[in-house]
Amino acid sequence: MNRLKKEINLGFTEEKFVNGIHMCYIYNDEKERRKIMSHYIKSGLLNGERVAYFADIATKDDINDYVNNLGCELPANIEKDQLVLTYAVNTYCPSGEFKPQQMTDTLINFYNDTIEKGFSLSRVTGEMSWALNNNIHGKERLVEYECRLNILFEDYPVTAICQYDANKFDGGTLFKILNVHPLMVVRGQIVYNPYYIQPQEFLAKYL
Amino acid sequence: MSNEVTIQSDILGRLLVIQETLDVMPDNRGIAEYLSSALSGVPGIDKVYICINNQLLADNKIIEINCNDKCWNKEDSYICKETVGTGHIIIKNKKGKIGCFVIFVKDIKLYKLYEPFLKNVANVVAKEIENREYMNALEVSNIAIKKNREKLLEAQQIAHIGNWEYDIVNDVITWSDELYRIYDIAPGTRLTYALLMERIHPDDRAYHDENTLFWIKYKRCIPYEYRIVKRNGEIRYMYAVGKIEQNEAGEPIKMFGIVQDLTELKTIQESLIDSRQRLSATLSVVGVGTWRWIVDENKNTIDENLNRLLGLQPIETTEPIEEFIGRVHPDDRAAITEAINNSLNGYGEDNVDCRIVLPDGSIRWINEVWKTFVNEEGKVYAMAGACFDITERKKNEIELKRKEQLLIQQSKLASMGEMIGSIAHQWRQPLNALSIILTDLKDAYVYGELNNDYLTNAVRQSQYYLQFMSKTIDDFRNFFKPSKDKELFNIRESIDDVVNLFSKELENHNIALYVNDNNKEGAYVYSFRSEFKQALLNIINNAKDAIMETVKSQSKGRITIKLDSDDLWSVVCICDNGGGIDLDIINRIFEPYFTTKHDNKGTGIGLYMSKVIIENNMGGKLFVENDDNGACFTILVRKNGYNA
Repeated sequence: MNRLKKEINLGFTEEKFVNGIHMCYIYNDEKERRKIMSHYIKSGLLNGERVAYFADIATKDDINDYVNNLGCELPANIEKDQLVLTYAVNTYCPSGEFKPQQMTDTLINFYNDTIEKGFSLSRVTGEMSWALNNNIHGKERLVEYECRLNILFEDYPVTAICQYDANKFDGGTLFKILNVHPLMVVRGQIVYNPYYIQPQEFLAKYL
Repeated sequence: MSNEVTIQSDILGRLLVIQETLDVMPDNRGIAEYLSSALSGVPGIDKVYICINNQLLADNKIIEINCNDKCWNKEDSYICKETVGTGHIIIKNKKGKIGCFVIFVKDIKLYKLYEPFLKNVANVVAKEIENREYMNALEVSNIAIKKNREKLLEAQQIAHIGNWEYDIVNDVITWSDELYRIYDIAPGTRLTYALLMERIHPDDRAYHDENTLFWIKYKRCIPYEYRIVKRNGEIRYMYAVGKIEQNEAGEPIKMFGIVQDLTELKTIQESLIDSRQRLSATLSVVGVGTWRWIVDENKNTIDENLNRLLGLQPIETTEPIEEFIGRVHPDDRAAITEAINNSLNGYGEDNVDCRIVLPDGSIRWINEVWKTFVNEEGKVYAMAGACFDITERKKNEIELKRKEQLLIQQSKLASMGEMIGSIAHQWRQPLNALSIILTDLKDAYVYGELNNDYLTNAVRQSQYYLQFMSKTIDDFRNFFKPSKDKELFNIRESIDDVVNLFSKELENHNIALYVNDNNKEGAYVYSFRSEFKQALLNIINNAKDAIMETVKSQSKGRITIKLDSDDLWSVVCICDNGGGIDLDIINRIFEPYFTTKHDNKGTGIGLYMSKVIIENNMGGKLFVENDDNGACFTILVRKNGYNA
């Protein structure tokens, strides 16, 4: 499979990375999160990438204003369907249950749809606190899903940041999250994660 | 060597990530949870338990332990190194040990390679916790400072207080925000003494200067008041308090203090003084005095107005309640004592009219009203009241009573004229009979028929007629005899008395009078019998006049008196066929001196007196309506038992 690989600007750091990287962002500062996310979205749009944002908001507020409310000033020449905003729980659990395969398929479709629509690259970010909802079946497979993304992104190079609120997730889970993200965002910098475990090893060890 | 470099690189990377990740953990538990996972994956290590501040995190449980204990919680098998021989790394900061890692080693060689890393992690944790404690303390401190500052600002705003500081050496004045606001100067404006003086009222500038110099010269800050003038010309009253700071040589180097805006306070004080004076003046003008009695202490405080009413020196005094009662007229003392006792026994407020004997022996009528104050046990602990001078009102009431009596008398005199006519009619027949008897006696004598039997018979007949006439006079006299006391009387009998006296007069005017009594047991009323008959007579008389004015001579007039009653009320309806009362004046017919009769035939007091008698003296009701034929007057009086 020959996918386009290109160095991209993530917006919040000057360091360039090849598209298709998988990062976790463990944060406890909402103000910092908004700043990083708004840069991430804006730079993607300016770069001509297709951007998807999965927002974990409980109410049916106007999601179209969500990105604006993050503090992100959207570029004027944004193209139709270039920015996709969805409710996280609807995206991750369309049937009310979290199924890793279903979500990876969603991302594949998103990637293919991106190419079809003429966008060169795509980036996504999701607020992962939906996984704290006890009523969601399958949420315990979140780490497995995160692990499989590392395999998926080799063929479908979607750039992704998974946002984890350190105030909501326990430390043990966060460490497991670290195990499945090769890169992590720390204070607006990308750090190679020494705790990252290769997906095959991780899956063999924990599944 | 290469392997060591790799390990070192790995360690550095891990340390960096741990350091950064710990930073975002919300609390010690998060740190322990995270480290427990992060360190348990380190080569050569099977499992790591983290103890921080005497709390051990094990399998996502927090267990309260003492980090200095060698063995922890044996029941749960969290055992320290002595028993299983595992690694043990102490976490300590400048203050000492705050926790430790308990490490279960699976490869001692590898573990030894990573032990320095673990020690570094322990240092990172110690630093992190120390930083957090410091930051928390700083935050708490900042919050406290912020709160204190907010409170100070709020307190300053509420109290209209501003604080200031004058650095004498450097000639720098510093003000609080509130002081800028008080002085109406834009916050942040560079302050100079000259600017300050501009705001001070021109008349107070010299005084202000003197005080400032006095403070500096004598190092004693005596508070003083002055005025400022705001930009809009508003004058505000200030109160300055300060303190002097001196150097070692005793020279003043700094002044600081507060300025309070007293304007509102002054206004309130003036308003209070003013309102109190006005209240006192008002009470004085309207003749109201007040008192308050503390029952247990038997202290009755009488205000200046009440003392004035009592004919005493107009100052506030305190005395036992007995002295106050002693000033009441002897005839009224029992009533007021009883009323006060009733209030003390829980009857609450009361209202009594009584007379006061002034020191000069004159009498003043007062109306005394009071209320009681009850403690938690329900006992009256105080009473407070007001005394109104009602002497004038009482005079007016007496005068009114006198006038009413006069009117009643006038009414009676007017009725008397009618009654004399009735008597004349009543007497006409017996007088004729007497005349005939006398003439007959004369003829009998002339014709020699007069003998003892004839004469005896004539005398007997004459006495009969004379007795009838005498009775008529007695009835007349009784009718007009004023009732001194209330009595229980039968309404029907009173109606009959009136009818008997008046029927001949009515017959003379071709008016028939009917009485329909629907009371089977008789209707008794406890009141003034004579006055009731007077009221009835006035209404019948009025009906007669109405009939005479409106009914044609060949038609027969008719007055019907209907007597009814229920459990409470006796009802007397007097209806005529006089055509009724014009609706334009029907509401005015009970007004005094209101009459529709021509040629000075009416006085206009008959119906008014009836109204006064029935409603004021008997506590009943009198009203009028028109029916199909004429007017219908209804009297309602309470049956026996009413005590008007």
